[in-house]
Amino acid sequence: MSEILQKIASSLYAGEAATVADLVQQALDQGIAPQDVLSGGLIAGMDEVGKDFKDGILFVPEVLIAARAMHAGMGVLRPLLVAGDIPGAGKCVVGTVQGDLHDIGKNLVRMMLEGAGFEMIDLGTDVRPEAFVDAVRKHQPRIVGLSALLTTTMVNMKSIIEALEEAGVRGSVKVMVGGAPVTAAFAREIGADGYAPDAATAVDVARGFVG
Amino acid sequence: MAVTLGIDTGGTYTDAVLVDQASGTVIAGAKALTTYHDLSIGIGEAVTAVFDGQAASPADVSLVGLSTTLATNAIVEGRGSPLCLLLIGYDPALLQQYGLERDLVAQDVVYLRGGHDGAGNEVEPLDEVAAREAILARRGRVEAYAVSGYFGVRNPAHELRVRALVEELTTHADGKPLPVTCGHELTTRLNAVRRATTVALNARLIPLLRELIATVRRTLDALSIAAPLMVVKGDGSLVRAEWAIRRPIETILSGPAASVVGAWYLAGCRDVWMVDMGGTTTDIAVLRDGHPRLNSAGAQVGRWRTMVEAVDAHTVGLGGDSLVRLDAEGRLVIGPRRAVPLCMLSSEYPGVVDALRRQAGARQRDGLAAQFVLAQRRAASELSEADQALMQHLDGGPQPLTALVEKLRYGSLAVRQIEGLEARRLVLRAGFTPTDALHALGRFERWNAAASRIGAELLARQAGLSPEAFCERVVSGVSNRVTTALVSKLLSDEAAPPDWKRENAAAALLARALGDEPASDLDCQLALRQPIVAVGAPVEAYMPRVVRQLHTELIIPPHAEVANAVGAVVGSVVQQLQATIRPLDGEQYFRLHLPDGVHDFGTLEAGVAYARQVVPDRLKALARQAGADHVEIHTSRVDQSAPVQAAWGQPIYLGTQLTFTAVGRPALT
Repeated sequence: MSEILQKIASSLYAGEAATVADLVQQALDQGIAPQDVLSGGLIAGMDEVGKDFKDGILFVPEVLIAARAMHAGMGVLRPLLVAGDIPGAGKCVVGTVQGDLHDIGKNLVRMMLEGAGFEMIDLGTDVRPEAFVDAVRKHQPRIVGLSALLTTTMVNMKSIIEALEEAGVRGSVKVMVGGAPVTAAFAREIGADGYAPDAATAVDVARGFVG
Repeated sequence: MAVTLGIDTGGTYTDAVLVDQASGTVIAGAKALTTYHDLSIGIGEAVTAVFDGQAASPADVSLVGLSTTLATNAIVEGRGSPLCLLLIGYDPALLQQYGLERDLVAQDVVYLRGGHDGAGNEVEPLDEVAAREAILARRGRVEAYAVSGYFGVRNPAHELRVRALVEELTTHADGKPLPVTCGHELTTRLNAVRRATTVALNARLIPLLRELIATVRRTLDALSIAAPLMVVKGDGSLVRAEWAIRRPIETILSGPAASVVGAWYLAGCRDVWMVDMGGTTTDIAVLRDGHPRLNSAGAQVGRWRTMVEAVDAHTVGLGGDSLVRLDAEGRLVIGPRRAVPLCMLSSEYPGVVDALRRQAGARQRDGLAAQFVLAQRRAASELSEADQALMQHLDGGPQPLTALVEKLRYGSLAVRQIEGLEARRLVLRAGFTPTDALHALGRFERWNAAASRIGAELLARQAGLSPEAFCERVVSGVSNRVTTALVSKLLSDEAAPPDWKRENAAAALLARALGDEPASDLDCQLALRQPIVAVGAPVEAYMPRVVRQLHTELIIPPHAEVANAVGAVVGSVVQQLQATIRPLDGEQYFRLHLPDGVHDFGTLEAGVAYARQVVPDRLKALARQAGADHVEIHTSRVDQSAPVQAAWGQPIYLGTQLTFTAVGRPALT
């Protein structure tokens, strides 16, 4: 792997947004393909962030800063990726369920998945089941990610899965759920396809769905 | 003496049996050929024949049970009457985006504003003006209406309103409205698209089943049988014919269901695998604790997946009348095409034997030897010129396929033309079948064995075998296919559907288990933990090898050859109703979803108590309408909850499912 890609990865890990953006531009000037900059630099760095977050070496603020750096790098890269028509990992709709305004966990997942090459559609917080169905119709994602941080709103995850079932599209999307009180057993009981206890695992689960 | 009369219209044969009501024993059985263009002809012949032995008189019949392939066949062949599908609150853009429109069955689909959400709250008021207009515009052009509302199973209010409008606006001078079915009447499950499929198929079948019931009734009247007529549902239970006319979709897989019930009754076993071998197909199903296992995902018929819970049967295109041929590489192929056995054909047309002798003297085209084509019935609609010419050749009786191919001058294209006519049931193919192999080997004697022997010689010569060795290979080939199908069914249920063509290691293990690789150092044995009950006509010839391969016990009960007709009359009447209770607004109140609407309660137990109070009486009434007597109600309750992370408190309550089941004996009046 070329030296500059490694630099991009480590600057991203350190959360140096401006440096990452500069390095991405330099890499492109050197003639490295945008796809290679993405996978060898940005995604490689974000993968390390994910691993260390899972192991408790990094905490939420560091991940957010790293994600911001990722975002800066993507700002340079994105126009070229679209122009080159490079297929991403797939589309993913995320949102926090109805009645729940927590968004840090959901945002982390969004950024980590973006870092892993997914095209993210974020519906925000307090999202009604019908809004998830509408988003599925509009974007035809491969994955729908649901977040809930309250035991009182977790039951709404089931309502969303039921709404997808009623719409006749349940078999066309994979549903993964997460949030501090959520368990794997809960995910199984409501008929979700996957459960992730943290944002880094969410990437593994999502990759498993599309891989 | 009171007897019950069971009738089964199968792919090849229509069977009839008489069961003595006091002792429960089968006292007579008879078979006739199924007449597809008019099922009542075969039914009339079988029923007449079952009384020939004077075991009972038609006046003794207290109940008639019918299992029919009509609904299944009609769906597979795309037959049915014009219908209008009224969808309430559906999103046409979503259906289009996901290509779900083709699952709607009907050509004529009307989208109405309205519908509910998952909690059963109205999303938008029903557009009654549009509903009226749509119904009136189609009056006289359709024969039935189907109604399905978005989340109609959580709140049927809009479906019920549209149904009332159809009944109000389509009532004829005779006071009867056109048939109309709602989605929530057929299922309580979510998936608005599949409910639309199910309700549309149901509406399309209503006139067909009504016609069949009327002709069966006339046939019975002609024989002076005045007993109540019941029909077997796909779950093996019985319903009164008038009820089946309203819900014909519930009779899909009626045939396999009747076989399982008949096998259970005749063999007296509660936990067995059932193999029903007919002329055209073989059905494999499992009986658990005396009940056929049902397919909870909903029965698939043709290209449609319905929401009907029917017997979980695996059907293979293999039977005693499967066409046996050699493919281009000289490999033996049995089925799935059905043919009239040579022995049966030559019993009716003795000239066939000479025609076969002539073929034996000449060099044969591959794949066509020993096959004949015969006319089945006159076409109801116009035929193309080419088809007319072909049908004319058949006026004088069955013609050898090779001769037709030469006469028609477009060589093998004629074969395709014949296949087209076969699909329309205008002509039949005849040829060498497993039944012929048994005749040639002297193990079965009903028809003309001479034709079977010459047919065997013809094919054996091509295969480079002696006629005996060839016939043995056909017979063991049938057994191998049954064993393979059983193993495939089991693996599909428990692990994953095997793909024997691509999974070489699995195929090699199976071949060793079947005993096809005696030279291998590796022996492989499969053992089925339950016995196999085999029913249908030729099971004695094929099943012993199957149970040897699966190291299990074989039960061939008395009257096995007419088990499906027995199953048509020994089942119970079963009606089920599911009630769901869901917490709303963080368990501030609880909502009970019933077929008449939603009811809210302050506590879960208040909702449960209300359901237990009102549902049993309604269900009893429903079961009586469906033809039950001595009705008993069983209730089961499942509370669904799921754990949260430690330190976050108690498990979360998700909802309660109450299942009410009414079981009764068929009423005899």
